Amino acid sequence: MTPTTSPQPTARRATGTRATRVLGIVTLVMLGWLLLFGLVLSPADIDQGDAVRIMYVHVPTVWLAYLAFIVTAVCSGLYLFGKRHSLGFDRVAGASAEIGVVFMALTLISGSLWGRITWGVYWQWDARLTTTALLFVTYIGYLAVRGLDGTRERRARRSAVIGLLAVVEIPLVHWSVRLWRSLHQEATILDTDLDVDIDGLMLFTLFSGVIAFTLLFVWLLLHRTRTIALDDLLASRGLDRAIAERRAEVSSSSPSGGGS
Amino acid sequence: MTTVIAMRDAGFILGAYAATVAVIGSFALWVLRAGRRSGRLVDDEEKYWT
Repeated sequence: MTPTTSPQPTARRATGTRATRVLGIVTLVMLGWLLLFGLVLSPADIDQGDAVRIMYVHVPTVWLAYLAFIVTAVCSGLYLFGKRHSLGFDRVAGASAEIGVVFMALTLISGSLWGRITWGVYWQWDARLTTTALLFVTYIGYLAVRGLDGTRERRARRSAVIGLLAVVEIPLVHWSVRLWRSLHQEATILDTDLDVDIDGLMLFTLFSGVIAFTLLFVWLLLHRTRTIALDDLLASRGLDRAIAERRAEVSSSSPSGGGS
Repeated sequence: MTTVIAMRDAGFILGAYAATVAVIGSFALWVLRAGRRSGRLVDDEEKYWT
C-alpha cells in the first residue's frame, strides 16, 4: 500500500527576524535592569521618600508617548507631502500612535498612583493632568478615524491630517506647568535652565528607563508595522477575490453569458 | 524582596510597576499573536522583511 503524500504546508514566518529577536532580548534585559535599579538599588528621595521610584516608569513612558506621537506626525507629513504618498509611512504612523496611546495610558496610571501618595488624591483637574488626558483622548480619536470606512488611501489621508494637527498638543502639555499654576512639579531634566537637579544614581536609573522604553518602542514599532502591512495585503486580496466573484456572478447571470 | 515590600507606600509603588509590566506585556503579546496569525496566511516572498 502506497501512502498518499499530501504537500506539507511550509512554516511561514511571522513578523520577527533575527534582528528583532536580538532587540527583544536586549529590551527584556534592560527592563529587568530597570526593575532592579528602580525598586532596589536607587536611593529614596529626601522629600518624597520611596514614592520617587514611580518616576522611573512614569517619566520614560511619557517621553516615549511624546516620541511615538512625533513619529506619527513626521510619517503623516511624509505620507501627505511625499511624492509617492507611500502607504508604508501611513502604517508606521498608525503603529506608532497605537504604541503612544499604550504608553500614555501607563503615564496616566502611574501618575495617578504617584499623585495619590504625594497629593492624597488619584486625580485633580490640574493643567498638566487635564492636557495629558486631552492628548490621550485625541490619539484615541486618531485611532478611531483610522478604523473608519473608505479606501486605504482615503483613510491614510484623513488620519495623516489629524496626526499632523494632534502633535501640536505636545508642547502645550509639556509647558502647561509653566503656563498655568499647577500641582504637578516642573520638569527635572528638560527645564529651561538645563540644570539637572537630581542625584547621580537616580539620574542613571531614569536614563536606564528611557533607554529600556526606547528599545521597547522600536521593537513594538517594527512588529506592529509589519502586522499592519500583512493585514493590508490580506484585505486587498479579499477585495480582489470579492471583485472576481462579483464579475463571475454578473457574467453567469447575463443572457449572453458574458459581461459587458 | 523584603526591602521592596517594606517600602513606605509599597502598594502604590509596586502597583505602578505591576500595571506597567502587565499593560506592556499584554500589548506585546497581542502584537506578536496578530503578526503570527496574519503571517501564516501570507507567503514569505511577499513579506518585505524576509
